[in-house]
Amino acid sequence: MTSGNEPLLFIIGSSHEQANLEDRETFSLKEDQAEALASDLMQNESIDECLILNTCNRLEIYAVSNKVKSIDDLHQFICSHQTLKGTSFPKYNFIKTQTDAIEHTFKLSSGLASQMIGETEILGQMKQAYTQAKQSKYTKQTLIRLFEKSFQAGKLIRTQTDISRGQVSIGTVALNLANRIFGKLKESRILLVGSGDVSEKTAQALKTKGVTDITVSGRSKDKTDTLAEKFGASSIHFENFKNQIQHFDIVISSTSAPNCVIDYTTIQKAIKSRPNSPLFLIDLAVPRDVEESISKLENVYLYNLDALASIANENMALRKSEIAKATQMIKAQAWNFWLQAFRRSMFQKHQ
Amino acid sequence: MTLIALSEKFLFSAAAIIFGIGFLYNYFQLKSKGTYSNTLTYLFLLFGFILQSIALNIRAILVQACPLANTFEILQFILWSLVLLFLVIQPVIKIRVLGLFIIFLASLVSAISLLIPSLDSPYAQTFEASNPFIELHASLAIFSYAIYMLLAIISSMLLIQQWGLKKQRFQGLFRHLPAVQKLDSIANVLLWIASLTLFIGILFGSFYWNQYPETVPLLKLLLTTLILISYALVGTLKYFNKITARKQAIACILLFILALLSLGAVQAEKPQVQLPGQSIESPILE
Repeated sequence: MTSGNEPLLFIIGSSHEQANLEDRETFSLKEDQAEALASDLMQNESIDECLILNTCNRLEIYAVSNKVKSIDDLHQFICSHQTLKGTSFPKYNFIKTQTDAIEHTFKLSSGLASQMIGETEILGQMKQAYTQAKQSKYTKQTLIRLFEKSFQAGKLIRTQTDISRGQVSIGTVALNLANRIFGKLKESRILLVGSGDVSEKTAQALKTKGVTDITVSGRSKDKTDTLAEKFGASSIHFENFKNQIQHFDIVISSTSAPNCVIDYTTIQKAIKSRPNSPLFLIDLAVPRDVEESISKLENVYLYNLDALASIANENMALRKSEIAKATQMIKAQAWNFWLQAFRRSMFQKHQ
Repeated sequence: MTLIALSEKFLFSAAAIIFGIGFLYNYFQLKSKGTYSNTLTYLFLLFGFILQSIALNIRAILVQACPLANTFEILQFILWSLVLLFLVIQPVIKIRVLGLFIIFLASLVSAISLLIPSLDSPYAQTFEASNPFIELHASLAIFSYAIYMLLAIISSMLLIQQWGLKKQRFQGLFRHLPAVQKLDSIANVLLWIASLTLFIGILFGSFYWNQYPETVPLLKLLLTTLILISYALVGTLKYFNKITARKQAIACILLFILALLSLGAVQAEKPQVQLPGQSIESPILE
């Protein structure tokens, strides 16, 4: 709640909690689009600070305003922005202000608001978004303090509770699934489509599990070759990978393509030439790379991010008490932060 | 009923109870704790198998032949062979949750065969009992049915695993099922072993029928041969990649149900030809 004196801190966002994968795909922004949105927001005279957190699971706009009395106008402004108009964002979003916003930020940094509770990747993504906003001079005192404190809170909660204990990564889940299909993962032939960070992490996870037969295919030849070399994998030209899918048992796709890169016809053709061998497709991309209808094909198993995350969270029940403990700690931390900020704003006014 | 006959029935019932307790214990363990003991399942099956073996042995002494003359005996013999198969292969191949499926089926089939008294109908001892070829034929045929039953179980496990993967189910039983490809490979091998065993069984039967053409059980022979051909056809289609693992699994389950149903027809047609001078009423059924 704002008394009208202190600056209005707010978050307008959408994540896996509000929107499913299909809807999230519509507002998955590219880097330049996110930058354009931040730049336009900063040009709005009501907004003093802003930061955009844009990951595969969420788009959140953090902002501070000293002038606006009502959040509705800003909400309207954001939802009607050219990058978000026509997407599912205006339909599925949340607004959090003041202490609620602080609490949400702390929850996020500690992994409590993540699709896979307790995961640590979000902390890195928040740091990256924070660094970018700071470099662009979009952040000032409030957001800088909020994010610095949230990083501390995230670390504290992870060390003082067991929320990250027993954490299962997407990679581990995918590999367990592959074991349920093929039994011996080491003998499986794996194709990684895309040569970005996700592919690199996946290749790393596969290597630690002893997988040797890995092939990489990406649009950027240089990045593909570098990745292949790093993990002792083979590489194939992006234009050719569809014609060779039948030679692979597991296909893991994580490109940043705006549309599907693996369609129904390609897989139907591939499976025909290997009717007695299953094909396991893992789609780690947002927007998705693999056409959903493919899952209807016999002997084909398709898993996307949402499916993998729900499996990974199946052991969440075991960590319920830890989550409650962490939530209590976050509430206390958020309240302390709010009091400090309130005292500071009062002190500045009376100076 | 004689004391020995009573003890034989008691042993069959005791085996069924052991199987039942074993299944229920492991089922509730799996449901509540999400896990179950493979060793305990194996021990329950082993104990039940020992009791069943003694019971079948007593029955064999009573009827002075391999006890395969009515539906009760056939079901018990198939079950006995199935459990024996499991006890032998499990320590070598280690198929997860197979024991749970076997113990479930053992409880079910034992209970059905004991709860329907008409299945253990009186029969006249035929001259078949005295001929080693026909004894071997019957034993091999029933043993092949046990392998087909194991194949049907493996096929069910494959279908459940495939369904679980498609519908994204991971808790309880799904978590313990073996890999799809492993189940498929085992099913392929079992199909051909069972078919070969049945073929050899029919071959031994033909030596006997060649000697006594008037005893050829036409319907039985026709149905058994049809089942054998059907299985062989399914196996061949799978071998040449004309059908998928899922289709083979469905076909194997359906064929096994047909094979079981055909037992009724076979029993109805069973020739009651008496071997001259050896017509003995089963003592246990007097």
